[in-house]
Amino acid sequence: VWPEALTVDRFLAGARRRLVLLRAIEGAAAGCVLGALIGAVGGPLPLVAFTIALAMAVRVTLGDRWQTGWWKSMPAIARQIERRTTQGRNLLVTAAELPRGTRTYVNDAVMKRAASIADALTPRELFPLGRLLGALGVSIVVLLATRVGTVAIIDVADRMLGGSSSPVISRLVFNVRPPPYSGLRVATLTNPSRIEALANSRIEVSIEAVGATVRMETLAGTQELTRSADSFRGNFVATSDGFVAIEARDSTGKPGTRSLVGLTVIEDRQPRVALTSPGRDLFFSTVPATLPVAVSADDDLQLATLHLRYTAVSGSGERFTFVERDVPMTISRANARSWTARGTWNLAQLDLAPGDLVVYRAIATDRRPGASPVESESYVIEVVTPGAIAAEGFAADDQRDRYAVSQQMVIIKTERLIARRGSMVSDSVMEQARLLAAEQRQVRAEFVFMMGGEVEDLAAEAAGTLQLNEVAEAEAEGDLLAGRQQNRGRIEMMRAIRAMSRASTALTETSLDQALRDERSALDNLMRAFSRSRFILRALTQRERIDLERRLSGSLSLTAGLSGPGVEPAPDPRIASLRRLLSEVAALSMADSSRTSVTNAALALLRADPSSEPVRRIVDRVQAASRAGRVPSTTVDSLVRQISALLDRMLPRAPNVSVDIEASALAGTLRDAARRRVPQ
Amino acid sequence: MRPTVLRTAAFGVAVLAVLDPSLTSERSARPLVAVVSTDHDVLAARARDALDRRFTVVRGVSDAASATVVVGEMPDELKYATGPVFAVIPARRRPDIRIARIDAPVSPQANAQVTVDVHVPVVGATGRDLHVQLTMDGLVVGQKTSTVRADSTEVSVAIPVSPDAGAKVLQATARLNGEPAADSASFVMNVRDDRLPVLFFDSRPSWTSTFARRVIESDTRFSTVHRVVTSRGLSNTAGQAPITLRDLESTKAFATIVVGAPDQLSEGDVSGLETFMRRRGGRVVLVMEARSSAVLDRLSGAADWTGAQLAVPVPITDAAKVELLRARELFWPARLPSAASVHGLHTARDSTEKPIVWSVPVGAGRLIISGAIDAWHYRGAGRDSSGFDAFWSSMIGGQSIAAPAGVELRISPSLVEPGQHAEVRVTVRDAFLSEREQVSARIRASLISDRDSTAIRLWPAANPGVFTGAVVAPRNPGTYRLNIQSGRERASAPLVVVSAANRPVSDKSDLLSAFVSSRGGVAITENDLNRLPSLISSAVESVSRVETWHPMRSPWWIVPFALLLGAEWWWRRRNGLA
Repeated sequence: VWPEALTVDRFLAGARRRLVLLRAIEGAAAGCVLGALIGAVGGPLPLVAFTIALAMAVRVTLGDRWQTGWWKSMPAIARQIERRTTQGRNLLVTAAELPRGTRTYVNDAVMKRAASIADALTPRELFPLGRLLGALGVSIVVLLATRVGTVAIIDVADRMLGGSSSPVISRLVFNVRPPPYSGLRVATLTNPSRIEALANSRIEVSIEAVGATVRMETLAGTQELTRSADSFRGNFVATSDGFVAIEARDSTGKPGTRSLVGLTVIEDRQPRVALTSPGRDLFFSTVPATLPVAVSADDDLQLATLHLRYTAVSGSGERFTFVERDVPMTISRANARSWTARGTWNLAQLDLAPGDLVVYRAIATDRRPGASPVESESYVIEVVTPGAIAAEGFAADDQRDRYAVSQQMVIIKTERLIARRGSMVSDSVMEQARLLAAEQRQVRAEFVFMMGGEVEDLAAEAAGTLQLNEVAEAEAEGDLLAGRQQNRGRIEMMRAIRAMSRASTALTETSLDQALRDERSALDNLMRAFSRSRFILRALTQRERIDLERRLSGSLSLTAGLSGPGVEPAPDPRIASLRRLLSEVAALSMADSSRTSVTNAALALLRADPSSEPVRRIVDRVQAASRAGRVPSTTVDSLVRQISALLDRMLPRAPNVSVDIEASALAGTLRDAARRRVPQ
Repeated sequence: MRPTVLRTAAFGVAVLAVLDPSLTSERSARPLVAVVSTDHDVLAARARDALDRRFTVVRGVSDAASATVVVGEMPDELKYATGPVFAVIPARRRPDIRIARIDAPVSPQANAQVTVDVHVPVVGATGRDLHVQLTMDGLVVGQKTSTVRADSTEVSVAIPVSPDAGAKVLQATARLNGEPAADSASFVMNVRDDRLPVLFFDSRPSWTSTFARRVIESDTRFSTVHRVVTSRGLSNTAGQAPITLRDLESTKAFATIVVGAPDQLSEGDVSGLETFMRRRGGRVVLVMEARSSAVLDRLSGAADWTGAQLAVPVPITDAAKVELLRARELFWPARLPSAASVHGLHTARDSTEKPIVWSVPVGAGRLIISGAIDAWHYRGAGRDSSGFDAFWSSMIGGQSIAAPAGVELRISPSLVEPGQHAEVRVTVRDAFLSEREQVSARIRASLISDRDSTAIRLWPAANPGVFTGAVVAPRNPGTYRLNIQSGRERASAPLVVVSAANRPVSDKSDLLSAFVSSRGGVAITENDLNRLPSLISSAVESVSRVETWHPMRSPWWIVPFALLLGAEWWWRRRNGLA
């Protein structure tokens, strides 16, 4: 190929590339217009993208003459160039058609002239892109407009045609500024559907909107935002779950669409503190000199203090002296949220005497200003006399089953002895029975102590008599008459004690079968005595004695005339809000509901129950649906089902019964007839 | 042949015509078979074709028919059929679904969750999914999917809905996965927004009664009044609680009376409760406390009470062994009175069942007795929790709804097409339950629409206080209300008119089979249609009848008469005599 031909070929190739680009742009523009039409009728985004790609491919493949392979023919490219310029004088077409293999004079002359023309021309000038790019831009705008939604188009159209700008919120920016003590960073959220903030965080609101004013509503109230250069600004402190409703208004006060953002407030959790060692009540008859102690604490943000505090109580009756101090400890900080502390408590310094009590607990605080300290469970160190330690158990009602278990054990042992009786010599049976009698007396003694007043009976038993103390019984008559023993716990307990006495006697006499019957009778009485409707009067220690002067008292007549109105509970506001939202959402499908009323209904629901996660989810969905403009019926149905499901969970189940007075009367008549026939 | 003979023969014919002689003969007749069909015209035509060769077939019920064949559903007029009745049951498509029944309260309360049970018989769809969708006033309010487990089965789907007050039209639609065809059925629910009046009357403070009252007091469906007698002459009250239970006038405003510590009731109070149940149709709940009394036992019919204190709380279940309550102290009668229903029972270790919560009808009312003495103890959350709140809410709610109002109104069906008849039945409670000889009741009925009101005529029925009638559905679709007024008592129910009412269609083939069997026939399926003629032939006796024939009454005697006279004339003409 001679140089001139090479120049011409290179020029034609450049022109071909330019033409391909032009066809691609034309295809893209047409594709965007088609995609906009598809989007306007609700077509999905992938279909729109496919349409654009297909239009480009078709336009590039088929070219101007709707023939494939147009780009292969250089003469055709040259003809398109000739149509664009008068300089070619058909020489470019001729040069493109000349065979490259043979050089003749004429060929050389034509190619030389064509090469000079090609040098003077550029594809960019021959095939400018400007207008096509403009068309492409317009079609892209149309496409985007359909994707933004009909609401935005209507808004824009309103503004363009009406000349007045309807208030529209275009951008919401929230800066969540946690309280300084937390050490957390500021978080910036743009157009969020929900805000999560630590309690007492300051939330700075920046709104970009078209409108004269912007109003912000929270559970705390409503405030007008301040206009700055290009936005409206305001702030509030997040104290509880709720919402932020933003509404732009025009100069006449007409509101635009309300934007609703859920607000979730995360409370600063109190520190958790635990006494890991010793972590239990201690009873000493001899107080040790030192006691190792360990405490652990953690917090969700930062711990501030941790110490072990004790209160030493000495005295008796209701005259106590209290001393409150801290135990020195060494704190290990794994991080700001998790601390441990260890120390050795010098108990010798306290000069504890029998009867004294020390209550100790760990105390931690976090960095929240004004936060009250958190205490661990309190434990006691009690200095007791050696005999008093054994009495610890029966002072506690929650261990009451222990007594029944003890009696049950006596029964089991008796049953075993009866089973082995045949294979034992009589002396051994007698010996075993006496041991059991002693055990039965021990169990009985526990209950006698527990009742706190039958020492006389013990004495009587010791004297070998099991007669009732008639004086005590006579004294109890007053209780019986006054109905105070309607609660029969004490009676049952007395019966149990007496049955135990009989069992003990029978065991002593090696009358095992009789003893077993009495033991079981005692157990039955015990179970009744400890049932839920009864209470046991138990002996109180000196320290626990009730000071009657501090008790409230009154006369029976004060209870007369207690009357009030009949009870008709008000419907749950959440249910009313859900029903309202349900009707508004349902009306969306029939275009009977405006977006504003739906948003207001959602707002009312959020106001009724701001901390409920299901409510938030529903409100988010309703918001999204109302923003989308046209709401498909499937979305409405789905929302209705979601709201209905939440309603179902809140409401009691209605029984499926119907009224049939005639059938009821017939059933009653049949029963009356049956009763007359067979007297019951 | 001589002309004289011909002439004589003609004369003889004329004489016979004058004398009109009669001839008798015995013939076997083709039996008359009636074919009746309401909605299966094609199959009915096939049945007629199959029978046409042997029988005279007529359409519709006929008194003269020797046998009747029913094709498809059983029409009402079939009761007038004579002779044996046969049925041809259309074969079901495969797969086939049909909404046979919808169970839902007709008149539930607002602020309650209503469970709609849709029963769908399914054939030939094993392993496929059945989708059931429930719409209320056109909006989908619930849907569920259930897998079909057998070739021919009934799938029941429970869908909860929470309607607000007013007349609601609910439509259930059932569809098999992948099948375009669906079956749908609609029904009307009249959701009430009134509250159920409940009186708690404790003769002394009672834990169970108190905690049951708290449950009811927190439920928006109830209006609660209480009186707790705390000591002699002293009581705490809320609302207009009667001082005693003796007077019906002071208790009839309540649907249910819950009595705590009933063993303290006086004989007069118990008598008042009985009057409340018999003449008001009210419900009485006795919350027992480990003792009864003779007067209570006379009312309930129970005797030989047993009490037990168990070591651990035990469940009190319904008949399906679903736990309702939990208690340690139980109290039950050794022998239940006749007609008693058990609502909660305890199954002992030896599998004997102890009735703990049970009821008996007393007049038109009902007496419910609970022997779960310490069930209140296990009402809270946690390991020992039970359904204390739900049980009492459901029990008192159900009983209160079942207690009749002053005027009870029933429309059937309440979803009708224009021009369709709906039956109306009104019961005036006080008149119906009155024990007097002379009872009078006046009612006024009207059908109300948005625009006008139409008076409806109702007629007294056999029972005093009961009125019946029919209302014709107006031409314009919409929701109408039928209002009834009797003195100060009022009742109202919706009548919904729609252009096409799809109601559940239950499978009555068993009923039809039983009916035709009782009438000497059999029911066959569509596939056995060719057996029908032989079955009818064997069931119908062949009828021979003696027929009397008057040959001279037929105009055809003119023909031989004319022929004889013509032949005689021709003979004479040929022989030159004429």
